Amino acid sequence: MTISVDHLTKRFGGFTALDDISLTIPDGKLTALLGPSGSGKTTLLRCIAGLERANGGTITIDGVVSEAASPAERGVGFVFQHYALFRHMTVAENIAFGLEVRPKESRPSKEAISAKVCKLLELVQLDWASGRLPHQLSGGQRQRIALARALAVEPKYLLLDEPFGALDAQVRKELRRWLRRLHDEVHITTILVTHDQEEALEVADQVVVFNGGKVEQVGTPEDVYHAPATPFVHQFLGTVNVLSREGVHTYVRPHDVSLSHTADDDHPLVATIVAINAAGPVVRVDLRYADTSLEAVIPHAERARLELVAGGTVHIGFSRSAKFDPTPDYAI
Amino acid sequence: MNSPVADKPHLTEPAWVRRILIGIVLGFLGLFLFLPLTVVFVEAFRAGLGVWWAAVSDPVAWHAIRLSVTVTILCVVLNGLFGLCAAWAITRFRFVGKGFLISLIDLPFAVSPVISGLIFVLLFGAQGVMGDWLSDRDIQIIFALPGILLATLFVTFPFVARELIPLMEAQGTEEEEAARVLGASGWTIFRRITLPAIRWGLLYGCILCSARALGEFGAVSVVSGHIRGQTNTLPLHIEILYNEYQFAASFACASLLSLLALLTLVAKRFVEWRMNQHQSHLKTTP
Repeated sequence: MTISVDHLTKRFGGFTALDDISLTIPDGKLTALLGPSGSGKTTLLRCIAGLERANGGTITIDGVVSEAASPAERGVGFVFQHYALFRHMTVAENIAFGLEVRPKESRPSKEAISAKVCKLLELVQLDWASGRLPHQLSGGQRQRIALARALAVEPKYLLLDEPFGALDAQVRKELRRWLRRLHDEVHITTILVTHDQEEALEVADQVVVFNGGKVEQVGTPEDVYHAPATPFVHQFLGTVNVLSREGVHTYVRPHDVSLSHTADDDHPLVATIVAINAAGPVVRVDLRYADTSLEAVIPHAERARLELVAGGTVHIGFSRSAKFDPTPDYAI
Repeated sequence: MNSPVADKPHLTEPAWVRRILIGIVLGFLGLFLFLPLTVVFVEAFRAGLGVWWAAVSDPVAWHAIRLSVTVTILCVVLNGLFGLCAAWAITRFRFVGKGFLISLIDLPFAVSPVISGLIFVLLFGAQGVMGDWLSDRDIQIIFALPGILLATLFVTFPFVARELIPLMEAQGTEEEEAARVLGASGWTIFRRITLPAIRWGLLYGCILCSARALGEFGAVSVVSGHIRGQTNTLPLHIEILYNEYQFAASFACASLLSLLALLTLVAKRFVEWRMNQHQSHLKTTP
């Protein structure tokens, strides 16, 4: 039970949304497709769902090439960014829809359908809302109903297209933790499209980083954060300092910059302290080395120990860094 | 309609400006709408209810009424279907020449109704392009019901499509896609998702279409041939009566037509009100 994508290409007029993508989605895991807008992640999701037809390449679902299969035949559930609830139907009618439209032979009885709706409403913790219309619910509640509706047809795969993108920051955080718990309960293979790196790193088992219709890196959240394979991944996932020395670009995360009073092998460079910002859980130190601005993040205790002051100098070194050849097209 | 401006206190214009503007509008409406309408009804009933009833129930008048209503019903059904197809094609598919098709839909609004009628005479008339072919097969279009229907269809062709295109554009395709992923067939999606979302818009377009179909004069006048008791619609019948100095009968029939127009106005207002309620749903459903 896997989805594998082979050399998939999709063009919209002159724009190439997917450029020869190959990818395997692991079974039972939550995979995040992460990238800036226009990077092709939503297009890939819609191709997998059968809502979009690729120009080249294949998608194989459970060993079957799904070229001509309709969305329903693929056994996928889809959740849209703007919920796409049927606005003239009640919450219960929305959830029951996928079961009611089945051909007579495979359609469950009325009682079975309403029992299923009740169970799903409990699962998404909205059992009180069954008679409401979608517009009477908040955004987060609507998205949970959309999820229940997608789960009602018992899909083998759950596809989520920026499901929390239209919600407030606070609701987003709650919902993504809730989604992770739900996934741990149901263990349905899930693909989550998002442009929010924090969201991808927090909920996913595997992260696929997209850029310009290509896959930049596939790995666990830790892999892609701590060992980015390309300059793009480095820059897209969190803040990064870029130093250009002797024709090589060095990428360093702010918390991997270490400071010292004395020059030694670990602290070979001398930098000027431009500013110190201690308002927060950690101290941010803005540095200037040669012609480059650098940012370091250190604990409050470390700052007190080093007695840092703006305008002073300090020796710096990098406890972890990555070197890439300069390739100007990675600018974001 | 229920614009937010109406609820706000007016801070910009002084009272006398507001009064003059409102006065102009009311005066204009009174002179050009209310007064003529009153005259129609006063003239219709001046000679008494008996005369009115005699004029309306006259067999020729009765035939004209039936013909007008038949043409209107056929027209609403056909143009309702056509408008739905056109709106569907334009809002749901990408194809070459879409912009051209949209301007074509507006064409009947731009062309004079007389010309619309003439087009059909030139096409299907005895001396027309297809005249010989049609007369060989004994098919009568001009000076018969099919001609009247064609001319009315042409003139009322944009109403439903024009109403539905922006509505369906605004609604987008996500709900339909959601239904498709859930396994619904094309027909089920149309019946259970698309149609409920556009039904008030569709009804509104049909009401506008029927109002225009019922009252259409110019195009129908060219193709009908004014044969009494056969191809006379109600507006044509009114004109003939008037030209024959039968004022009482003419106004009696005119009052009937006006009454139907007023009824459509009420229906239109009701549908607008329902659409507004529907729209406010849409607004809270981003």
